[in-house]
Amino acid sequence: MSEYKLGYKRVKGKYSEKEFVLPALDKNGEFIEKVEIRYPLLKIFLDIKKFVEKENIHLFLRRCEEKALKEMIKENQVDEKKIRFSILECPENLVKKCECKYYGIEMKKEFPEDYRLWEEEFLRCIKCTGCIENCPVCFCEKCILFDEFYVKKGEIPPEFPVFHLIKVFHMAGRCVECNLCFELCPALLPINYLTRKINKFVKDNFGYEAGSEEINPLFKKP
Amino acid sequence: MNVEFVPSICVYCGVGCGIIFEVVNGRIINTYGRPDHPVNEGKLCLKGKKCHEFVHHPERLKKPLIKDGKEFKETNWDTALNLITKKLIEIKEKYGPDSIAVISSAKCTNEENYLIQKFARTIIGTNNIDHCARLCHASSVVGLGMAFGSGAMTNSISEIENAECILVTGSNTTEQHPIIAGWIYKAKKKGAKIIVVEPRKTQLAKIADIYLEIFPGTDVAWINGFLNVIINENLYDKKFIEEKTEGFEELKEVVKEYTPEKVSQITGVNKEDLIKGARIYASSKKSMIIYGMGITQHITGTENVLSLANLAMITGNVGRENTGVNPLRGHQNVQGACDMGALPDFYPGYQKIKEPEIRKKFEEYWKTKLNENQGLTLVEIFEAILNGDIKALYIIGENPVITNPNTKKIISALDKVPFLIVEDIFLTETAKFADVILPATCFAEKEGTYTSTERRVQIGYKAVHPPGEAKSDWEIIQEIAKRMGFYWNYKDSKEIFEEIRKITPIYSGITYEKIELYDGIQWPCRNEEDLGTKYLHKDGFLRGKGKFHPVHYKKPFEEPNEEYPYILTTGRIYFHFHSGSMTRKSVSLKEEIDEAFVEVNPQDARNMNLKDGDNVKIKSRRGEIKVKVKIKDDIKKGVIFIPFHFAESAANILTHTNLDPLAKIPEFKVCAVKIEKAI
Repeated sequence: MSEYKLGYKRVKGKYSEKEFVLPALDKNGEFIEKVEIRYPLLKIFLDIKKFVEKENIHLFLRRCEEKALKEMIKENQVDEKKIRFSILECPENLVKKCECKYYGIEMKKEFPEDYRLWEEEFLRCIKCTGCIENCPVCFCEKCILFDEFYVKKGEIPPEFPVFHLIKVFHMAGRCVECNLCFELCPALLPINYLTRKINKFVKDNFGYEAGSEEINPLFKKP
Repeated sequence: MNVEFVPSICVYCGVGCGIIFEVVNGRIINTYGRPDHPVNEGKLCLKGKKCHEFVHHPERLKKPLIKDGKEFKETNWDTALNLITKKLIEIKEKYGPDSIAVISSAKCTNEENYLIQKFARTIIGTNNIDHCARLCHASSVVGLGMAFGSGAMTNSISEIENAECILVTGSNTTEQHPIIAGWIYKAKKKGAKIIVVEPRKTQLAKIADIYLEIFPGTDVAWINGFLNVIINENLYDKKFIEEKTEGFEELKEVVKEYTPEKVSQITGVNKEDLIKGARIYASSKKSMIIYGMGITQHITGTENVLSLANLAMITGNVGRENTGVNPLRGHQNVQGACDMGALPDFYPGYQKIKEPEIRKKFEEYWKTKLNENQGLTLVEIFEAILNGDIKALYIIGENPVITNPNTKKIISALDKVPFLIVEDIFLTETAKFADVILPATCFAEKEGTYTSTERRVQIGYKAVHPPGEAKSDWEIIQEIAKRMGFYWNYKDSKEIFEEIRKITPIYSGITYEKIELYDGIQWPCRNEEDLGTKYLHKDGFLRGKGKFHPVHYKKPFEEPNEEYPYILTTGRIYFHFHSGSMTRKSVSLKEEIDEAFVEVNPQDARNMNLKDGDNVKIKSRRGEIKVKVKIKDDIKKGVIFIPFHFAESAANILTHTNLDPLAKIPEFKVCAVKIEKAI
């Protein structure tokens, strides 16, 4: 049985020599092996997965996305038997921009632990839902951030800290630090600092890191 | 299974964000931002993220409809088009071409707008062609045209990042142009000072360095106040004024009397803040003005725009990078619809119909005699129906019942007009009055170019097939043209674009190839080598010298009095777009909010004994609506705000139709109302 490939392809423009770099799901053709721009590929995978009945999917994933895939398998969102993947290496400038730990870069910047400062930062939030819609480990069909019980509807900015901290807490030991939430935030909210912080807390206290082979201690029965 | 990823441009505001549609088996299942797009860099607001949700809505129009008594009956294209052709020819012969009016759409592509105005001008023979730019930035087109020689945004969106001072006025940028707000945040992170002048304390106002909370409609006053301070403190750019402008002495005379004390009285802003704001704007090396409807939608709209132009010129902040006067356009193609001449006084490319030589040029190009009479503007068209002058109206993709001022008047006009054609994607409030309804395609179902607020001409590609028998607007207009005896035979949008660029100097260097290759080309682009223009007026103003137009402050048409003690200001909210014909069909946006509200200051609420969620009646001299109260600190005492998206409590029942004398734009931003408790 043939399998689908999901990754990036160069697509010739309709009118010119332009090559659009676009996500692609296909059985054949040339997939790019090193690419600077990134779409939330795992999100696209989740969108499409529902439509694939028999075939397996071969994913081209970045190092961070591979970790996210592992989390998704652990959380029963992806059937391990139906997928395989190859690694899509990141070019140097993307690695630098992300301060990517999978390429051995340590994030230096620390955001001060000052509630008021964070409150001020999050005043800019426009509830675009980018940090949810682009996050490789957010998969709930019904996200509680759209439940009126937690977050008032029809208003921006959404209430601080409810909206933002629920998002962050759901990332505890699950965030693979891909940085897309920050990179795609129209309001430039450094939500990735908070998710990294909570990740560090989990690591320091439970010795667990997202994407590792172990089971997330938060899911273990006491 | 077939999966495609199709690049396009978001359908909502004028920012022109690059998106890709995720198409599975012929249906769009999701939308993502294009990370390699120069404007949005992969980011989207909630509307953009959900912009595919209305595309496959079951209520999309799928077949032409003809009114039969009170009901609409489905029919085929031939019957509908033949009826239209017969009626239009009849009316044209009996009452003359100027008895027909066409309303084009800022949601249509450039190619469609071009054909629609060509249809009105060459086949009907009238200049009665206008579109909703009349309701948003007509005053910018006129005002900036008078001062600089071009009515568009002078600079580019990405230039905001390196401005040193950004003055935002009359624009709730974070809600209406969220991606542009992001560029303002980038500038702030780099140390830019942000000044916000608004009657509502917007999200942007909360992070601003200076926030001036003015009364609606006092814009000329505060700007003259700024000018007064700048002149008195010698902060103006003498060299720039001398070399590049004219009329400075007259300006000096007029603004003399606008002392901070006087301005503070008129606007309700404290004197020190006003002076501080003026100093920051004038002393920063690169100051940028960004404005929206709060400036333009007044009977003094043009004068407000002229005043902003004065402010930019006196400080030499035009014609350089990271500066300028930048109107933020509302629709994804409202800039393009203006560029294409869907206006009663301009041919494509802002070429005046009143100039005989230009008219001659177009007569030769279109091979027909052209009408020299200036056409009617959008609001005037409805007046003319009531007067009996307009006998047939063809509305394409607009919903004036919700978006035009004084709804009652619009409804009586639509009731009265003998023949009404409406072409749209849904059965809108306006379509219900039509004699014939034609089903059109939406942005995801056709190919064509759109011009964003920063003059960037971009291509949106076809992602999915239209529902039922819906056709794209250019195909429909071509069908009618053919039936009226004109041999139009365009095969695609590219062919139409080639015709446009031959007669439109500002577009003449733009081609589909170049647009695709460079992710959009910003006009003016005059020849093959030209890659477009990042900012205007670099080598002097387009009109020659920049002209100062000194203006005095005039009061709004309606002021609060004892009977109507509150000022109503209307506008949009983040989750919805204009008449709601698309956003209210979008599940995620509808879920957020689906009813109108009135924002009331806590002090006013206390005085009237109102609680959050109370039902109230808002009454003006034109009518009344029922809405829920939302108490908010963010609105000035004495002022209330109602969004205009919601047909059940349409804010425009309350607004009036008095117009700016030059731009003919109505004053959506100020009218006098009273509030009564409803049971």
